[in-house]
Amino acid sequence: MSTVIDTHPDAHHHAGPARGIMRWITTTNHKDIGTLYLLFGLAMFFVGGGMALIVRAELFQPGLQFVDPHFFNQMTTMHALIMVFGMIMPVFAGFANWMIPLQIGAPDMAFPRLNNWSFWILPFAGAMLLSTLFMPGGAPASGWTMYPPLVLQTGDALPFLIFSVHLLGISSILASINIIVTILNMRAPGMTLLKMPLFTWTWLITAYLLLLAMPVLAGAVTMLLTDQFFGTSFFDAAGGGDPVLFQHIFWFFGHPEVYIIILPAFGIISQVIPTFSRKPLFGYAAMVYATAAIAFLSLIVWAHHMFTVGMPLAGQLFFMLTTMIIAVPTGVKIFNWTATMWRGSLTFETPMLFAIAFLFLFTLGGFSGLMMAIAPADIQYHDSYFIVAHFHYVLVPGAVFGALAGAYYWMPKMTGYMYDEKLGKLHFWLTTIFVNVTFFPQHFLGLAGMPRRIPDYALQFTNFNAISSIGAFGFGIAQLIFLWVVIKCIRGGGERATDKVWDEPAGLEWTVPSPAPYHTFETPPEVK
Amino acid sequence: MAKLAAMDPQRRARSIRIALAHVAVVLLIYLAFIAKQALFGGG
Repeated sequence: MSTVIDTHPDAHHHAGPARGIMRWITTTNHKDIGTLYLLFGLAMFFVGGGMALIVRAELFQPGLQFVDPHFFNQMTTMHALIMVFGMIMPVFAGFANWMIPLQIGAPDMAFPRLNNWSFWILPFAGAMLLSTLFMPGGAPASGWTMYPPLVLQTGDALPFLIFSVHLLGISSILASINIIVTILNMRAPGMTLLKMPLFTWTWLITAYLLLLAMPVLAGAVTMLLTDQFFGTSFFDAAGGGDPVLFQHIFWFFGHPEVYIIILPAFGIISQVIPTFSRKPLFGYAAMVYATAAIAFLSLIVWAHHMFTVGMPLAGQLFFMLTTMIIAVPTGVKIFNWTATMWRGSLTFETPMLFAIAFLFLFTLGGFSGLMMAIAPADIQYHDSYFIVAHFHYVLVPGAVFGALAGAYYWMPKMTGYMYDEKLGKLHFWLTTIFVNVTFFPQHFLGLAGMPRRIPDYALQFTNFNAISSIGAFGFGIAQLIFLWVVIKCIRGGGERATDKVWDEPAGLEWTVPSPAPYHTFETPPEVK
Repeated sequence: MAKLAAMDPQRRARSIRIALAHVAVVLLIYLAFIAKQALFGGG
């Protein structure tokens, strides 16, 4: 028997991570950066969630109880900005960092230093945004859409809001370029595009959407900045501008943003369902093309958010029809996920439970979206609580459930320990029950005429609001179980995970040990 | 640690080319749009 002694002079480059805080600040390792994104997103989940609970506490009964209306508006605005830019996008970027190199057999991202920068911009942007809460005039209160002229009434916080959006945009653009290049140029030999796992595919398409949409948001907020401080009048009718122009520009970013949030969740669901059905994904190529079709359509539907601005009939028809067409590729995906489960050998571990709940509840949110796509009907729904119910169904049991399914699915691979299945199931059931208790009554509130973004309401809305608020607190408390599950896993409290973790899961990430070593695929794997 | 991904200079050069090409295409799309607005007006 012989022993191989590594005397290579560069051996120290292949050593484990540095120790202490500098490991995290200077890291260029995709797994470390993925972990940073995930932990940042988890922290923001609780910050943004706390703001939502302030909103729901105020709305528990009519009248003003806890906060003044201006602070209420700050909470609705900051909750949305933090959840969209600070929570869900970083969480999916975290999964992308962890999993894309592992799934394509690459040693790291294409630009590791850029990757470090993409992440470390985020906490500063987030801190800048949160610091506005302590400024004269308070935090932004005009809604996350930042419509002028209302947003121009923001106090000292306005330039900080704009600069933080710029920073968040830079972070996203850098990350998306890194992801595109990694997928196009770092795949292992034999890993053709149509052999890539669906999560990597959905991220490739998401990265293109980010690259196209984020500069538009940066442009829009820069125009707000110059309108406020440099004498331009892009959005000021008195100076020859048009406030509706902002809405067009914002939603040209804003609607793709919805798909930027949901496509990676689609990718995770497309990995989880085949694993726990013990069958390959039904219609793999159709899933890829459907994702691309959804992404393309998302770029040409933006004005369905603005049916009430008074656009010409041709415009209403165009945006109504293109929006409805999105249901076709989305239907393909829902059908294929269902067909994957058909006659599968199903088991219901926590990731699968979240994936199945995703299927039902995201579809429900999609259906209410179709209702709004009908322009004449939307004029009734516009700015009502029905909208709040719709987008929360798409974003919470949609995007957040996708992220939770991914977290439970990959946590054993990331930490090396199985999560506590009992606690995971408890978390699932409480979350699923309370998410419906929170958001389902909001449909009725909206249809009965309750407007969104108000701290007080007429008496007839009391009961449904009370139910919704109880649901929100239940949902919030249930997430503490998830926090405990994650802490337990990181501290190594449970059973050790095997390398494959699940029964015959597909994908290269399951061929490396659990926890995944600091460096993987230094020699590219052969993919057949 | 960055060394790992940068091991192959040819691959690294190709990565940079792909990144720059994407940035250039996005810039061209928006420049074309701005030029169209400037020359032919909005709408």
